[in-house]
Amino acid sequence: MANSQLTLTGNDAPISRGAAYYAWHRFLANKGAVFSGVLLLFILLVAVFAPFLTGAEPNEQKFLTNTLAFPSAQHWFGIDDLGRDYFSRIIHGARVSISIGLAAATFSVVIGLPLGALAGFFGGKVDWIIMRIIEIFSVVPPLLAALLLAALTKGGYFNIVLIAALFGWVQVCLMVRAQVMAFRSKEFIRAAQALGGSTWYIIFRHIIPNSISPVIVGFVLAIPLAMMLEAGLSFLGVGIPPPTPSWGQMINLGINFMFYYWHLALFPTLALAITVLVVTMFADGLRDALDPTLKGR
Amino acid sequence: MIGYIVRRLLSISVTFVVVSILVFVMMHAIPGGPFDATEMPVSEAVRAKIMAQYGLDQPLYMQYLKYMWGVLHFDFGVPFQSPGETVIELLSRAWIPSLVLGGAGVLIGAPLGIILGLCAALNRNSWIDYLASALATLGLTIPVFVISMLLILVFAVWLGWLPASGWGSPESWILPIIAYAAIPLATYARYTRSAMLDTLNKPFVTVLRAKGLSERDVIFKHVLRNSAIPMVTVFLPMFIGTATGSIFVEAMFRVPGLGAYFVSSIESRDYPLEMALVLIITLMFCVAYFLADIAYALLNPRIRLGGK
Amino acid sequence: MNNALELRGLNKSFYKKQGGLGLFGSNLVEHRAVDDVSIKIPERKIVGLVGESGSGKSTVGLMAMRLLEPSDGAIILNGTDITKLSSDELKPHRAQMQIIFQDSYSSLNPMMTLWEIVAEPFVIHKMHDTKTRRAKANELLEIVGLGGMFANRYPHELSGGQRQRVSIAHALALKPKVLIADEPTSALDVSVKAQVINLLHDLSDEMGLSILFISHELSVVRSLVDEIVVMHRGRIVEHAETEQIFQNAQHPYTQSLLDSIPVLNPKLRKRRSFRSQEDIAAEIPKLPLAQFTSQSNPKMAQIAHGHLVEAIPMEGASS
Repeated sequence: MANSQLTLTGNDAPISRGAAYYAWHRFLANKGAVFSGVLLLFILLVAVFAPFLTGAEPNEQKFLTNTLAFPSAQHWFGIDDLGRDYFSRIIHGARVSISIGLAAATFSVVIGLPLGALAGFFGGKVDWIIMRIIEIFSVVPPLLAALLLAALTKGGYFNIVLIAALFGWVQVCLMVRAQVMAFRSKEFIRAAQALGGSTWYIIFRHIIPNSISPVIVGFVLAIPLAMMLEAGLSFLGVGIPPPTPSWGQMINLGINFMFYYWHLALFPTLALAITVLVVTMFADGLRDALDPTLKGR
Repeated sequence: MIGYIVRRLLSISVTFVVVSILVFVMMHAIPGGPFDATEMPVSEAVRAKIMAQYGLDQPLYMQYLKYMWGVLHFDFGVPFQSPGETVIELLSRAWIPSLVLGGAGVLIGAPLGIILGLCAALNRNSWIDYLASALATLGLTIPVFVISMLLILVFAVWLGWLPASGWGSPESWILPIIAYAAIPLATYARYTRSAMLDTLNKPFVTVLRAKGLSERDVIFKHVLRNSAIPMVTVFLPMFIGTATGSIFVEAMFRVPGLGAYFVSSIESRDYPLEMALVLIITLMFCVAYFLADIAYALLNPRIRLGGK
Repeated sequence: MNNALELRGLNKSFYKKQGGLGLFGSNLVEHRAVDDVSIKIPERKIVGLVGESGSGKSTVGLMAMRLLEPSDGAIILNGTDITKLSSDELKPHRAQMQIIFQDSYSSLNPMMTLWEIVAEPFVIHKMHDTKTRRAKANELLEIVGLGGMFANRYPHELSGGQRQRVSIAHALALKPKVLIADEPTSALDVSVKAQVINLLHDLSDEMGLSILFISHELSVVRSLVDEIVVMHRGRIVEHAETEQIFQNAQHPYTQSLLDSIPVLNPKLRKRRSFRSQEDIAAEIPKLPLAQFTSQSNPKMAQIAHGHLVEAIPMEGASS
């Protein structure tokens, strides 16, 4: 802990523990979350070191004589219709999927955090305007609108990130807003005002440090949503354009071959299902650990 | 209460109009239309004539106003992809498969989810509680098309019990119905469980037990009624939500429903059909949220009788 | 005697919407939370402000601190009218007057250690370097009975009484002249209550503090305060020295508050009478016009030296 240098007087001096210590222990007590955390770490490592784990580039049509081959010792997940190593494409697909999740979650926080803080701190008209914007997002089915936007912008990596962030910030904003509102009326804020602390001082010293939990939780929860959106759009052919490997796109390809070459459908489906599940369970565990009161949203 | 209804109605109408403007502007502002030179290589004169025919040569706000005037009379124009019929005629054909499959999915999934959630809440930390939580997590995190794919692989490809796609025979409906049922089942299992547990932890339940009321009466007469509010209000939005799910289920199982037409309208940049689908689904959501708000107010005596 | 703090004719109205759709100019109904309240707190004295919840007493405290803008009236701190000062102009005066709150759980930032909390006033007023701030914070914690080893702990590791001590240290860091204590003991256990009261008593002696002690329990304030102001539905109904209130309460509301104090000796127990709002209104004393001599509270009759009571003026009636 950060304050070990100041343990004082005698043996019975209590060890002081901050909020992070307790959050960490609550997280460790949640076996499902720890398990998904470990699995997630493994998936992340595979994604990061993907180029070193395979003998073939994901887009290299190296095995044209062997197209549609079933899984084997050389090609763990088989070979696709264009003679590319499917294992290589799946683990490079993890890079696409996870990096889009992270980028979209970052943008979601960049939009949602300041708007949520403004709405929660100032209330009144500012809050009213921001809540009306959120109401618009709540009646438009996100998938439908995302599909429309993706089609209009012709998809592509950066557009997908922006579209996912466009629908991801709402949740971050609502969580930050709720937290700031709860803290704005706390008496330590009033005590700081009574001392003559300026609005900026109060925001930086009191509001922001207390809003870190919902920001972290909102960030992590936004990742699987963006991953699902990317996979869905790519599945419908308006997401990541080929030849960049994307799981959604590969599932779509798999449909055409599933009756004879089922491995083309099975592996991307499993990869997507497991990754999304693991990230969500990790995020849920993190949320429960960081702030038990956020549980019911 | 009437004041509350009118206020909600006004607010939701404004939201709907704003959404319609946004969608309209968005679709027309982005360059590249169905009659661009790259899409349709015809002479300028012919293109101008086509543009005039569809009203695409007028200023945007005029196009919008004209369009919305038509919408008020159920006139969504003519779809580019099948000019022989109107958008309304096409949709009145397309919504049947979606409603049959989606409706069946909801009607099967929701009650199952409620039963599962009830059993889970009443037997905490038993195997059924873990099963309910696992199913809820799976159903709510894994995308519908992944569930559909796994269903097809297992039941159609490997076991060969059921057809993988099509609309012709009733056997081919089974897998899409299961896929549709996943979200209502997961949603209701989770909602019911948490609503029940919330209520069971309230002090008034302890008071009822202390008064000597039988456990059965406690659950069925008091706890269930108090847990029902969130369960009722979540129904309509979730039901409309299956309309969005239909995009994937129908693409996966090759069902000629609303979702399939939405995808094809996007591929062919079919403005009238896209606009109509987005507006109709948004309108359904608006109505669903409005009704959910009213239902919430009616069921909750604190709002029904209170000032607000 | 000089007044450390003087509240002159404070008013606070809240407006509630009623009827209409909330869209097109609905009717605003005025609710007077505080109605013409004047209180003087002499130097080195403790004044108790007593009333039931909702009587407006906390609103008075917040307005005195300028945490809530009064609708009307003036706040005079050490002879300076601070009612209209801008937040920059107010800042130096803030050091002269501090507040502690009822809810010790929400009055300490959970993310800060105790010494950071106690040193916060120095940070806001840009006083001292970090090392001195820390030493001063330790000193203050020592004064309120939370010696050295507490400095690095977090609020959630403390009991309610300990938290309230931290709040007191935080409030006294800048050596204010006036302290507003907004029900600082209502959330505490009986034994802890006494400790906090004693601490405030000792500190007021040592530091020459003037305190406005807000409470809903007459029994709690008896041993601590010099004068008691009783508030009811936003108005002051009685104001006198402490023993005068306990021995000779004139207003029916004050009497009902006194009746509500539990008596430990069963032989001395009386049957408690319950007074409704109507009873209280009916029992307000009627006193001759000649007794309405107070300048600060012209609506109140002066029945003895320094004893004011809300009354209905009667022409020619004899007392």
